[in-house]
Amino acid sequence: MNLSQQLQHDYLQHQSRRQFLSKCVAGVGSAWLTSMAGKVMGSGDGHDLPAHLSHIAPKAKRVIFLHMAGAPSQLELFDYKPELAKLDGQPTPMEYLEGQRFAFIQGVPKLLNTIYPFHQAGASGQWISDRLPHFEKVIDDVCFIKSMHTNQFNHAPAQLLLHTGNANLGNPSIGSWVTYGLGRENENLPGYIALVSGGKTPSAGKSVWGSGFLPSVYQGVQCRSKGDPVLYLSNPKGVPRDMRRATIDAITRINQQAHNETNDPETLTRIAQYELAFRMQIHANEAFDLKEEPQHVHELYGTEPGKESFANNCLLARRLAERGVRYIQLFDWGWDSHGAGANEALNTGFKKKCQQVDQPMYALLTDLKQRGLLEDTLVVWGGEFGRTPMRENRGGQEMKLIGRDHNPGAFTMWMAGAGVKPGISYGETDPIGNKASKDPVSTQDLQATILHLLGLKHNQLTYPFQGLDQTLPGVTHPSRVIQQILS
Amino acid sequence: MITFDAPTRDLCSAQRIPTNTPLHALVTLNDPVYLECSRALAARMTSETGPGISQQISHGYLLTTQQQPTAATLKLLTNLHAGFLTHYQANPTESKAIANTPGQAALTIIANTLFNLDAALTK
Repeated sequence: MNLSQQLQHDYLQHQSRRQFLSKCVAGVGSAWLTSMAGKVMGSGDGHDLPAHLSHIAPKAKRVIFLHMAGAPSQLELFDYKPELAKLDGQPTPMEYLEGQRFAFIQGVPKLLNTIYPFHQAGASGQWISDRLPHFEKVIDDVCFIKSMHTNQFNHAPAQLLLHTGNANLGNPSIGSWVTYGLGRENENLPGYIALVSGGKTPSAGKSVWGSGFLPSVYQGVQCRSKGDPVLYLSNPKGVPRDMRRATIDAITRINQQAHNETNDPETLTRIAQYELAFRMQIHANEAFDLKEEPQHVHELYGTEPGKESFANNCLLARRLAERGVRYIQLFDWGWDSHGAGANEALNTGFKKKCQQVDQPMYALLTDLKQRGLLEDTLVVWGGEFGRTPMRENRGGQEMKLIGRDHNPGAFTMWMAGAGVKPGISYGETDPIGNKASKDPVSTQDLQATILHLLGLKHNQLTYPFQGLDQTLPGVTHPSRVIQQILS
Repeated sequence: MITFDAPTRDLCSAQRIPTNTPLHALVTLNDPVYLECSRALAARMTSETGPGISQQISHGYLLTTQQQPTAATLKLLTNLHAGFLTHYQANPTESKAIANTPGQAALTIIANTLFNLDAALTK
């Protein structure tokens, strides 16, 4: 019997539906709440999934999403534009500027050629710059989407759009939708975990892994970046395990009574989270302990346990994927290459960022593949938007360092693993890489595709809120599954 | 405060997300600070009422939730306390790790239980 079944069982033991309804004031609302209670409690194994959702055979069981917060330059990494070499330093033709909004560029900016040389790599011959020498070795496992576009040109709304389907606050993130739809694979760990590196939380704050209008039992659980990922997994000295069990049983019984009085689904979440905490006390220590990894694995990733790094988070992601965590969301801050400071400029800080992620990205894909996990784990990489083919001219002036402004019109993402064609590129941008021109892919299309790979239909995974059956990509604009990249 | 999804101070936060994760439970159950608080609450539960255990538990319940416990809840908690007391009387080392006497130790764990009720955590 797993957690949710046990909770459901306990719940029914304590409270029959008849008793519950007899105490309620409003019949229909309370009946809905009872069904929602069942939903929160019973979500662990997805048994209560509506039948129409399980139509698609899932290729992926779990997702690792590597978000390069700040938006990395596709023109310095994956989107090779030889045309730009000819136009380097020339004023941008008006046709490219009309109707485009910039965060910082003023007047007529100059075009900027890629500052790192490109070459073709792997048997698939895909283009890549010289900044990712390790990652290049696994390029044949990767599917690039070069025609990503968004409609937001500032970090926070663009991150929200990418992860919640809406540029405004208050909507559930994709990991919440996925755990809502599919439940947890491992009853001893949270189904959705967020890991942050780069010294900064993403601009959109914690809402990018929030549960929005879904019950908070589906929110992403953030682990600490430095030191132990999870604190206080051991009982205090003098509290044996059976005493803790008795304490939690009492808390659950009293919370259950509170729920009977108030019908607040958050109380059910509380009950579920205390049960999960109890299980984590036995199982999580082992899951989060990077020191258990042998030396050759640390060398592969370049990890140093206890320090904050993208490498540590990648290794942790692999350990969590191995243990059945459904959705693992990584954020790495520091990719906002405006050229306004040495820590982010394309010719300085950007190089360091590439070094920080190159080996761990390669290690993650290699490690997952070796363990047979890449077959049912989907890895997604990208930023919230792209960068302009124009050189940034903050205040209309030429800047000392080299950088590019935000570009919602075009960016590159890649996917690898479960159900995705390896070694291909999908979509193209215009000759200077300013806008997605062939087979454009919106952030909502990306969400629909991720859900599809997990066996969920994006327009049928719904939750009633504000009088509407809400969906992740939103119901107001069409979104499509990118069939062409599916294997 | 990362565990409680508090925003970092480097950016404005227009909205805090509702948050309720197992990591909160681990902090409020196991963090030495909460044990310290539980000891202090247990002390108030004894010093501000009479010697009767159910009176003390009722007072603790009122302090943490602003409500009187129902008869069923009170019975549940007094039974729990009786079990803890027996345990600590039989295991002096564990008892000492929590408080000076088995009675105080048992009441400390009851106080910790009260702190972790949904009614105490969510107002």
